[in-house]
Amino acid sequence: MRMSLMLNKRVTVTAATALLLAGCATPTSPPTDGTPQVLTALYPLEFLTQQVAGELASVTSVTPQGAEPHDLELAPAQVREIGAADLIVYIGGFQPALDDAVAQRPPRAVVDATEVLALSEGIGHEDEDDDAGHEDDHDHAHHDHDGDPHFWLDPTLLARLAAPVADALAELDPDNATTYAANAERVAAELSELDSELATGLATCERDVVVVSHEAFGFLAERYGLTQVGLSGIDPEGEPSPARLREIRAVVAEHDVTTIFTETLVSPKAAEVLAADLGISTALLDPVETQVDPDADYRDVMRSNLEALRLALGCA
Amino acid sequence: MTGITQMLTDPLMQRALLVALLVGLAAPVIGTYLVQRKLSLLGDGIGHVALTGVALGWLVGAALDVVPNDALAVPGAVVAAVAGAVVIEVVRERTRGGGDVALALLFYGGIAGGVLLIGIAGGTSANLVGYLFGSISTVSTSDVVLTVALCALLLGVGLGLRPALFAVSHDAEFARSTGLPVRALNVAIAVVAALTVTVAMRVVGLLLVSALMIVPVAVAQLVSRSFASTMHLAMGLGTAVCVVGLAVTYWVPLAPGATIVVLAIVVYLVVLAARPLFARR
Repeated sequence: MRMSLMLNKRVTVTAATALLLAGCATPTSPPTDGTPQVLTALYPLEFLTQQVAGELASVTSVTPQGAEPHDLELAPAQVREIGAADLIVYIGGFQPALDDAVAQRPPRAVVDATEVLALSEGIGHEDEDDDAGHEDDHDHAHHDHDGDPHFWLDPTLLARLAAPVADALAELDPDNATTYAANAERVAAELSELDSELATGLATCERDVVVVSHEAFGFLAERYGLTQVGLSGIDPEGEPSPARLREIRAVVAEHDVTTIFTETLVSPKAAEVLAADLGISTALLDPVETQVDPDADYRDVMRSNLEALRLALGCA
Repeated sequence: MTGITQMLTDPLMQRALLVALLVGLAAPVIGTYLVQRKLSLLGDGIGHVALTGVALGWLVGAALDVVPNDALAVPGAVVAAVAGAVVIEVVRERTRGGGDVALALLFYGGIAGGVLLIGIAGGTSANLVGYLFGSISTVSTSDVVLTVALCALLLGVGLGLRPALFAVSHDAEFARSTGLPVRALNVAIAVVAALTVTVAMRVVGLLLVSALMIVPVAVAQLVSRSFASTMHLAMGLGTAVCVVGLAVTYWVPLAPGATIVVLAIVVYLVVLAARPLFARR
């Protein structure tokens, strides 16, 4: 149900993106050295765009590595950079500062993941920009990640951005259009392979409940049939209430949970204190919002996530 | 009844209740002096200076190649908070009662310094908050030890030096004429307040510790006449709202820090409304 919704959406949205690109791509100020300057909102989009662009474009991330992307703030110098960029790949409704900057200083072309993937009902803290059409065929299971922007934790969704990014790059740099298309196809195939690895690895497990420090893993959980239970909600800074901790204690006992997962950008303290009390362990599950280690990329992190999950869930 | 037993046998909750009890008891002691000296917002100001301290500690740690790089973050926060508190005293002394201006300088300087420095270090303010984030719902055993030590210091200074501190807070000129070391005592209060905030904010959160220093004192002032009875009543109230507020969030999923603060303010409003009834007697 959800897939068919997405496929329908994709046709219209791709068309809309194409229109948008046609509108924006009129060459006002061609890049100085002819290389498209591409900005991305955060690491997973940077990874994808870099894969599609190869050596042919300069790709950077607006959120500094190691920083929490939720509350990004931009310097005027960065806003100017956004206005001067040829293409920005971002997630509408995720980082308000970036939304404003893109609205005020539009780059030549824009790929908005929220639009491309029809995520609007799952993104942002209010559903204010929902068009009524979504509601009718809106599957209830989908509500698992209302307000959850971490779509890239489902590799198939990240893969679906490859073609629109390639199209946008081809508009800017028609000479290399075939290379961009080929790269997009390759990275989409690699991501789909990663998806099969995850699906196989998590197919037969003793447990399916994942206790995490903040509920960032809705897309991962839905894709691979897991249930996430978070100490705090989607906002990583929420203070967990003793009542919530009590519920988690009950979940841990009921499902024989062995591990509470922490993540890199959120203080692991709550998880560590609770795990120590319950006599279970903690492990790292990375929501790949940022990537500090230059020797590992999105795929490597997702594979170590898979290993951590397989260990914690007792997968065959 | 089984519910209460369940709450009291949950080790996480036992630690949280113990810390709530201690902080609720000790924070109003130092708060009584702050209110007397019109420095009620000092807690918040110190919290912001601590942000600068974290960023500074981070930068210095990186520059000196300390392992791990953030080892100096928390010491940095403590040093910056104490320095900020001393600066407040100096500004107050030089400007004759400019306590609120001194606080404003501390407050805005603290935020701006933190944001600027962490930017230089290549992060965002969210990285800073991680060091200073605390929640009373997840208190570790070492947090309990830290809190016990802090509260011993607070009660020792706040109650032990009460006659001298009261004289200084009440009328500095008179205190000076009687030969009390006024500046040293003023700095002592500021430093103890700074230590309280920086240590306790990592355990229970900035909101809770800065509100607990002040709100119970505000309530107590409504009904008691003497300095000593204000302090004692505030200690009792602080303890009560902390324990009750925390116990409520064991059943109702609310943020415990915010619940305790709102509860204290409700008590303030109720006492304020009911006071004329008592006054008529």
